[in-house]
Amino acid sequence: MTASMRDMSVGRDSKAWRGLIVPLALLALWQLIAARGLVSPLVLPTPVQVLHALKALAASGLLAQSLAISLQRLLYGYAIGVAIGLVLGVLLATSPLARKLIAPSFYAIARIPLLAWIPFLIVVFGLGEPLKLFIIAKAALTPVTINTERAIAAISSGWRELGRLYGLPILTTAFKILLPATLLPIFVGLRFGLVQAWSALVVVELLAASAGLGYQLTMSRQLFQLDTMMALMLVIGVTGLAMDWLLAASERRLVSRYGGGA
Amino acid sequence: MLTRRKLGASLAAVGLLATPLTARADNTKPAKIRIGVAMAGLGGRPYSLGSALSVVHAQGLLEKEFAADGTAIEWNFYAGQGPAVNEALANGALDFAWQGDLPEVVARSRGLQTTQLIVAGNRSPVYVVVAHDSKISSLADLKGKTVANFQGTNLELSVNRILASAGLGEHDLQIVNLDQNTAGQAVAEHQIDAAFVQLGIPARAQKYLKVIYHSDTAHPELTPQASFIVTNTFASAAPGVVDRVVRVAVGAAHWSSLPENQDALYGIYAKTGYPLPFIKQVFKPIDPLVATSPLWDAFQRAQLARSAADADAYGLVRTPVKVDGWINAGPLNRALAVLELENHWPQFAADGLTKAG
Repeated sequence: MTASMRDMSVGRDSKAWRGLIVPLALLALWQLIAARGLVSPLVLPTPVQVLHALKALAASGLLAQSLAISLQRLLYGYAIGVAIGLVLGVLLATSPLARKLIAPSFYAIARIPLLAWIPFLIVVFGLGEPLKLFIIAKAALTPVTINTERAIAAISSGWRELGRLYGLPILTTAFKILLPATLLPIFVGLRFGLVQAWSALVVVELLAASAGLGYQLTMSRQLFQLDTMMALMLVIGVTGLAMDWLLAASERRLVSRYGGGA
Repeated sequence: MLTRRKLGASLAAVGLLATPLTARADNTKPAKIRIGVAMAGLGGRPYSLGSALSVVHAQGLLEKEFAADGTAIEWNFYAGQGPAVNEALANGALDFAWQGDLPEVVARSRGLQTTQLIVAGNRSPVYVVVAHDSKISSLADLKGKTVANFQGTNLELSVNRILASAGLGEHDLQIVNLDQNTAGQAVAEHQIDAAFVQLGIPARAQKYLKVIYHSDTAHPELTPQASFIVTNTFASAAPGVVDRVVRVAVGAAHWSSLPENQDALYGIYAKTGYPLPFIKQVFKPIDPLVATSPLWDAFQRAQLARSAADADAYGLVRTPVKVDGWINAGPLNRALAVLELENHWPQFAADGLTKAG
């Protein structure tokens, strides 16, 4: 899992434009199908209609409002997930007792897909904000914990020896040696956690929310405004991508500061 | 996704081509009549309640009417209610549909070409339920509370009207979008404070709920309306079939209006899985002759116009809808004449209270 996560990180590809081929081809196909009237425009609006819907959504202020609500939910849920995930990861990697006690349950719980949790969590938390925060936090927690644990476990004993050899205090060992050595793999976990949290956010907002991007998505479908619905899908995709870019950029800075990573 | 859409499109195109070929004159015999019902019973049971269409389906009346022609009747029940029916209509998957006024108005504002045939469900009561131990006792108490409404369905318009009658708007409440089954349970489990519900709530939730409001017969304008519509494509291809379908539906409305059939009618409604006592509680207080009326009298026309205007006022449509030319009472009037039912149902003035003519 860690290896595949690392694949999606770091470095600029000079042939990155190739990534645009598939989306542009799909866009052309979409325009063609819509323009030829092969599918009712009520079901598949044209890209231009979607763009107009996006403009109208932005002009009405609804877009900014929904985005703000969704991002706030994400921030709180993600912060909770990351905080618990980091502590849990360190604990699992450093304490054999904690590992024996927690690891089996943690991995068992992590393997139950998010959607399977939802009915149970509704019963426990009800339909309000705590439910949404819990689900977002849970989505972020798993990759953060696993990556943190593996990052620390992967540190060769040589690094720890180094600290002991120089007689460094434990905190100095942690901050000067262990932290730089584990920072990058942990960061990959944070990045992956954010992707998971964002997907989870949209899912929970489709349920019983009264505001946010996912809620607006449901509403636009209920009101048969599929152009608005597709505009919102676009916003959700672009926002997720933008956040990932942001973290990828920070990751590059870390790499240049601490070297090529673990 | 695209391939599925393309496939759907080709199928729809074949359907469009096929209909005019097989359906030209009044004695058209289409291979299939596809009907969409904006309701499903508990757990998706393929039954509905609250209109003559429930009877037409449960008694197999259209199947009997078209048996000799070899025409198959395809019934589709949508738990996603009106919004789901609209998607099916836009995909060319339905010929007729029974749904509520708001989804019909929404579809019309988006350019879906349909014709209104008969009223099929009017003045159906709307309730507000709260948990049995709740302190909420009136509409005014709902202010600031978390309340369920099934948005985009015809319940939503009614909720807006009822709230307005108490000087409230949707923004005074924390509205959550839930279907009625989920809403009833959520209230019973104290997850939300109250729910607007229309026809049915599950029996297991009922004992934990109490009704604090129900739309009274003095204000029929607050209640939702439902009707039976046909796509313009089908109507122009097979007008004779439309007449026959409407005649069967009007016959079923007549059967439903007779006092001696009320118990049988409730039995049909109960096929949805909703408990019989609740169905009786909902429908007994309403005069069956009024509830089953298929007529486009001044009241029903005013209700449709009011729904179009309200949908615009509440921001539920982007393009205002004109109701002129939407209703075609021709098939209804011919059915009434053939069945000799011209004077069976009372005609109401626009207020829905004064009997006209």
